[in-house]
Amino acid sequence: MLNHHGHTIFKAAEYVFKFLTGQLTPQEEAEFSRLKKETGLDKRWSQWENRQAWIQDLQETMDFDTSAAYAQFIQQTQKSSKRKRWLQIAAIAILLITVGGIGYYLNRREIPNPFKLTELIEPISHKAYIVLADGKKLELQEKGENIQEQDGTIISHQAGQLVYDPIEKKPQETIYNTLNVPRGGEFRIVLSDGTGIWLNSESSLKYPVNFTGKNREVFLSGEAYFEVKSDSTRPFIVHTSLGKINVLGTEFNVRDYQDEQEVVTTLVKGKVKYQDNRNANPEIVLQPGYQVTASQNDPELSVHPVNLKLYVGWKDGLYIFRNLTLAEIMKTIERNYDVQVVYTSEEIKHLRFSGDLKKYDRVESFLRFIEIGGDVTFKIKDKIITVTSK
Amino acid sequence: MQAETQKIIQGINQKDSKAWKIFFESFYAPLCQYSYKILKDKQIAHDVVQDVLLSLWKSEIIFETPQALISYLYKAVINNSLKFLRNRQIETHHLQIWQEELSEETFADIVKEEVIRKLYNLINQLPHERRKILLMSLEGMSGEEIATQLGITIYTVKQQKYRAYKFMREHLGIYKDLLLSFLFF
Repeated sequence: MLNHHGHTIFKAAEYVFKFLTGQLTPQEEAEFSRLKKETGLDKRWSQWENRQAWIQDLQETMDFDTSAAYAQFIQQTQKSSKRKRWLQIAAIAILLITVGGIGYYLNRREIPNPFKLTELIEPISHKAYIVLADGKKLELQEKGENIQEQDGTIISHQAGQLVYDPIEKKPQETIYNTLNVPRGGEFRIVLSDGTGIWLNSESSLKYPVNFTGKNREVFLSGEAYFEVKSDSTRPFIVHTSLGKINVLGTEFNVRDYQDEQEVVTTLVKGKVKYQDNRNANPEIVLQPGYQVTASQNDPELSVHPVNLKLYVGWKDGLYIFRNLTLAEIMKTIERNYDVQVVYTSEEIKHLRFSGDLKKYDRVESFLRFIEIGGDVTFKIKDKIITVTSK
Repeated sequence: MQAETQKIIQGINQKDSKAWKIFFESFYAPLCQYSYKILKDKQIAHDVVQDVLLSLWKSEIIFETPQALISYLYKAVINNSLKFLRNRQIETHHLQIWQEELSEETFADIVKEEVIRKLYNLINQLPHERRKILLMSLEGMSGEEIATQLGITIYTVKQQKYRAYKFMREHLGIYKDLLLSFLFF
């Protein structure tokens, strides 16, 4: 570790940071002044107490355009990984030549070509995997087979959908399944109480195989649309990263992607109550057509009426973007088409666009549409979309 | 938090593209700033940092802890910056031989950059517009000037500024006003 006189840069940086932000405890203050003396930091101290200088350094740091640098970086890594790939091909070719002579007579099956020559960006498909109660992971293929859980529940699986048949005898213990949908995937699920859920790309849902308790509780990360079966004796609760949503019987959409740092609940029908987990514990009862946003960076909830189609259209295969920043739009594209987007400058990310994206279409036509109307161009290569200004 | 950090370190070791994006976004600019202090040239500083990150991406080095990774980065950036100066013979700096024990000067320089990096990453967590308003007001622009330049109302400027402060306050614990007077006097 980088150090001077037995003190690491990390400890010293932590003290300086705490000093600047006024968080040093009296005990730490004593340790800090010893550290300053021993490392010679005290010689700089008069300079460092000038806060204007910190701000200037901070601003200089902000001037470096990270987006542009990242786009350049990605391009370079692609170049070198291509070189690596060629080396691999060469290595395998040599192997095949040497082994091939012998192998040919032993095994006349054709050796499949492991390298894709062209790469198309695939539209969304039904792919997912499920974690069963015993922890076993099962990949859900396009063509499904029924699964039996340890408590006897039969889970029927057909093209992109799982249906839980409730069992007659209520089990004592609650066992859980988790459904994980990767980027570029989508799945529908019907729980044992008849509640239907659409799970969007890069999302996961944990739920009881049979609802045994007083409440029906599920745990979401990512985005899902819920059609909750009405049951006034057993409230349905969706847990998210910032709070929970209590419902009786309704239709609503919840979006809680980690990188968006907010939980957005949009109500279509009925009534739901959003209850925040954080200190202030705010809660709100939503009316149909309204949306509540809880943000990691803001302890207050914000509520507005919204155009529902914009927020729940995805479950019917249509994304409607209205006056959104390119960064927001491309995030949806990244998830649904399993691609990576890089920008050649920070500014492009904040340009605003409108447009409709049919979920099952190829993404290229949508990008061309944005290109025609705006000041940007897209280049697609190796599942990476590079955005440049015209 | 600890588990989260561990996951990112693992992702960096395994060259996972998501982990690398987070890593790149939090280190690129602070490292450039550090190299810039040595080189006094933004473009070359960028080149040096880009090279360091690229060669890390191509290498098979495994880091056990974030501290090990950060130490590596500083060493590499300083070495490459100095190497550049030496090759160009712009200055007669001799190439530092890296030891774990740093000189007093280098120690202070790196500590400073680590603090800048912490502040930078904190401000970067703000939503775009809020961050922009904050930086403009740091530059000394008035609320009205900011409103005109961004084409928004003065009320929005005030509201966004207030929310930005609130966020900083919550992330900095109880002694908030000291930081606020520091950053936003």
